[in-house]
Amino acid sequence: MSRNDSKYFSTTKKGEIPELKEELNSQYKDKRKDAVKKVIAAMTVGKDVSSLFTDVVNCMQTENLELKKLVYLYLINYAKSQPDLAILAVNTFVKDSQDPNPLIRALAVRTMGCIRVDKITEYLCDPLQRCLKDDDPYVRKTAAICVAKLYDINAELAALAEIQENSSRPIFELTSSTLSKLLTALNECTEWGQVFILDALSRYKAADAREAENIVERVTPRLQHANCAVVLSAVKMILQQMELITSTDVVRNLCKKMAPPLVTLLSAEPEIQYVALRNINLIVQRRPTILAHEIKVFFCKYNDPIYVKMEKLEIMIKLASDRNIDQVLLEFKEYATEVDVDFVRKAVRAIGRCAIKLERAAERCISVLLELIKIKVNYVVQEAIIVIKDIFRRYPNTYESIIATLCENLDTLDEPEAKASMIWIIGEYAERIDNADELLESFLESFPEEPAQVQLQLLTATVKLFLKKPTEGPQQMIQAAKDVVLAEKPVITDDSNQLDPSLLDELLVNIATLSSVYHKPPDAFVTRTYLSAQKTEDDDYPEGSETGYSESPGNHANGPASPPPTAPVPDLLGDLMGTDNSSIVPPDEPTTTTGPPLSIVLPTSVGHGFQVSAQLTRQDGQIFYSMLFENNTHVPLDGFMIQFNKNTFGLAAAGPLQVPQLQPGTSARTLLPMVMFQNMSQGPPSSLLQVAVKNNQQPVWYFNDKFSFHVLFTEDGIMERSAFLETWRSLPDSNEVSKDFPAIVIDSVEATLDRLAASNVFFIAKRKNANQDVFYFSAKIPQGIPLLIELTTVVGNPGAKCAIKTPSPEMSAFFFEAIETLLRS
Amino acid sequence: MENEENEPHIQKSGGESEDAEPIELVLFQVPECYVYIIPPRMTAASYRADEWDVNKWAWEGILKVTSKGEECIIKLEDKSTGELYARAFLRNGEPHPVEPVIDSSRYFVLRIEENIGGRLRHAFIGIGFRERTEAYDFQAALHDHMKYLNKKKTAEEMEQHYQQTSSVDYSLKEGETLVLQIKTNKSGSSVKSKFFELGLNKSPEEKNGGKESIPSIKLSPPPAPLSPVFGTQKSPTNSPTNLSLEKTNIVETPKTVKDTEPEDSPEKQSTEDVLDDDFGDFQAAG
Repeated sequence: MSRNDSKYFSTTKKGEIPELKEELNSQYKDKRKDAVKKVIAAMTVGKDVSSLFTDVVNCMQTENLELKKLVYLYLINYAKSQPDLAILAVNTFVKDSQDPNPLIRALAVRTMGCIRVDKITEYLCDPLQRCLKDDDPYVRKTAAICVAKLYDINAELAALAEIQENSSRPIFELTSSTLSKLLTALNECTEWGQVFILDALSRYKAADAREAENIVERVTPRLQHANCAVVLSAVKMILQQMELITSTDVVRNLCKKMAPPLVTLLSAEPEIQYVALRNINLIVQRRPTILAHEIKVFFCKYNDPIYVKMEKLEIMIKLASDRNIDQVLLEFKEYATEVDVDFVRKAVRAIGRCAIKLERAAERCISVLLELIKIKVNYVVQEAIIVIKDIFRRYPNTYESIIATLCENLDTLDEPEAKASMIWIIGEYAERIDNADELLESFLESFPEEPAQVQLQLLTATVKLFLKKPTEGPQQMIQAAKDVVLAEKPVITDDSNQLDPSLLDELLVNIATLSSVYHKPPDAFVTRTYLSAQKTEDDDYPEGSETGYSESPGNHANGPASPPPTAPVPDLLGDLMGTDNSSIVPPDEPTTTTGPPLSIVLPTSVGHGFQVSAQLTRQDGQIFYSMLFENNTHVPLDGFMIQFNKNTFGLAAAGPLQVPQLQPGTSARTLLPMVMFQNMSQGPPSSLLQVAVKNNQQPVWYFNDKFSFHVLFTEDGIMERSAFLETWRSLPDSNEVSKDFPAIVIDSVEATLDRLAASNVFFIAKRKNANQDVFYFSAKIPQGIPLLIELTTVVGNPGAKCAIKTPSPEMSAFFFEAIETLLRS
Repeated sequence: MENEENEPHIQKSGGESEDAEPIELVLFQVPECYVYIIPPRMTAASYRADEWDVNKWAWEGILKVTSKGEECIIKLEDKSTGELYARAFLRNGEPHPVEPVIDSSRYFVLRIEENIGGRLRHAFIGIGFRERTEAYDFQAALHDHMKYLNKKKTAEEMEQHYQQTSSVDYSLKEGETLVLQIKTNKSGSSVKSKFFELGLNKSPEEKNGGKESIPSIKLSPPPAPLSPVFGTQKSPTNSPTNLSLEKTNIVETPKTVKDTEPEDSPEKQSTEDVLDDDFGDFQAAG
């Protein structure tokens, strides 16, 4: 919206809905357009204007493109909640898809694709079919994208459309002739067309160096384009083809040609500078020669935003060399005296990283660090301690005398990382520091309050001090400990900000996309829907279904001991318990494309329209939190984050929640990898899992989930029979806990064993005891804790008894819950 | 794949390499700059903008400050065609081409140059910016360039100094020791005085052994392992237990796996397998 439209957001009068309704039905075009703008503004700030649906839809019949766009925007937002009324708009969509104006045709098709109402989807096929063959390329492009959307909405419908197309060939195949035509078209189409062509061609693999050189020769003129996107796409393509070019002269010339356009990007607005810098950061990691002589362009200006400064600093470190280090150090020295504390810290650290990187310049870096230290700015001195510790590790026994200068200029040592570094230095050079023991003792006074990194360094330094200045103790023990603690350490390098080579390769292929700005592969932050079949192992099967079963064979061996009248006793017991002879439903259920249904942990009513369903699952040895987010609000939801409270097994998220923006009426599924023993709780064991979920639009939502113990069973839980026997004997009797399950019936032994094995409860052995069957199983939970299980029952009869022996008998309650779930299902 | 350029040492000291054409870098750019024809300066007094008719400019267009190597150029270019209207040069050691007026921060006098028929001619024009921030950024860009030249010179001097001077030895000599004083937030004053006192006492003494023994480190012993102590191995019970469904509270004794081991001989375990129990924090659920 233009600046003059801001007045539409300031309406605060009561009764505005009827007023808007009146304006929407006005006979004057301008009045109707203004009214729709007001409705859109109210919708944007979260007001409920859905009652105006019919009136807004009536404004669709207009020649005004702006008004039509506004109405379409309204429809996208409210079609989900008003599906019957949305049908009224279909005729206009179909008509607009045949409008003489190609912009309107494309707009209609795109809007229909954004409305996720099944009935709209059905009407979409015919206009889509027509627009795929449209004269205008923009309309065809929009229709092609819409086909992909249609597949996402309704796969079967898209499949039918695909069959209708009767196309078994790949749509877009890059051959050398296609490449040649596209390179010719490069000179004729618009700037954005050039971007698309270059992006498509960048994945072409040239046959040899000569072809690569020809391609590059035709792409190089694009480097002079005024559009930054064209420049970056051309750079990307040239970088890809350079991998095949063997001539060093050609490569050098290409590097020279790529430098000026990249430098020009740094003269644009700060936001564009930042995007360019993030891409340049990747490029110089692969081809530092491109900008090796242009360190000057990355010097920070006084009015650069902080995010630009930080990125420039990072690139300067990567480009620093023996040739330019003096200029770079002068710059860093100036930056280390600026007012922004974070920037100052980064500048100090940059000096340290250059010292580690360039051996011949290390002494000069040390000199600059000493100059900065003598200024006596405390956070500068503490940051210098951190980098100097790394320099000591890089160049052992070379610069240690500067410790004294460091301590003289230190006002207060209170930052954990600096404190840990100082403690490391004291421990490492304990034999050269007379009062090392007193220093460590003073640090130990506050040991309980220190963060973990300081505590760990204190422990290490204390052991080092003991070994370097021994007072007494067995010589053999001292020597063994010396071999471990005082072993020669590998020399460190400056790779803290280096990217993994394979990741760098992937990011270079994605230059000029969000991926190159985030420095993450695309799938790390873009969710793609994978249609995979999943067994519904955890489903609750309906109980009470009956099947015939054969009576168990008589126990002839114990004939004299058990008289015939005892045979009807189990049946009587079953009657007493009030249970029927129900059987087990076969475990194999036909696979579905949506996975098992998840239990709702945050209902829509509690989440103000936001609903969460979730369940802890195990797949291929990994624990996941399977989640389904549903947006039943009227605004898009994004910025999803999740946090787990402390729990018995320390379950926590292994990474951030990767959920894209949720439009109203849509949902998203995600599998969140989990790790264990991170958030350990101290209280009594519990299967409660407390979760917090938030997004950018709503407050934090808290809910409780309960996990089933068998999710934790590991795949290596099987034991040899002899090992089982040994372990059983070695555990004391007090570690055995047993429980009865009166309602459990095991009809099919094989099915039961298979189902247990699928959950990592492994069958060991079976024996007979009187008229009962006794089964032995083993399972294991993380950290290698075994569970030894004895299950006693009469096959086909209700009632089972379970005994468990484990080094952690407090886990028995969880196990009994899990085994009951597995046997009952 | 990458070839480092091995430049001759002579060229290095001579400054920029001839192979690399310096890249032109835009230091500052503004789309609207106004040019005025100003009256000649009659006296030694400074220029004043109120003597110009600031609402009647002679030309309007882009002002661009670019840097190329050690040269800095101020260009006035046409908005649509990019054609050069005039330019000025900022060179080290020459008079500064930009002079501010004394009565406004948005107007300057610019000394423009042109090469006409082989002869270098110059003239003075007035320039004005619409916004004060633009004027300030313009001056900052020129200042940045001068600062860059100074730093470049200092860096070259640093390098030469480094080449000629021998290295400073920062290492500790053989047998040399240090006494350090470190201030932390949580250390008490009594500890400080103790440091000072003990430090002074120690340094004159040559002997560390003998009578003076270094105080041992006071470390509390590690906490006892939380895993339960395993009892002695019990012999298995061979008698079958008479278990019926009516009895629900009988505690099971360990049973032998009778069917799988026809020879029921107890195995002796020389050492017990000690399980690493990391669940020390858990308490009995019941």
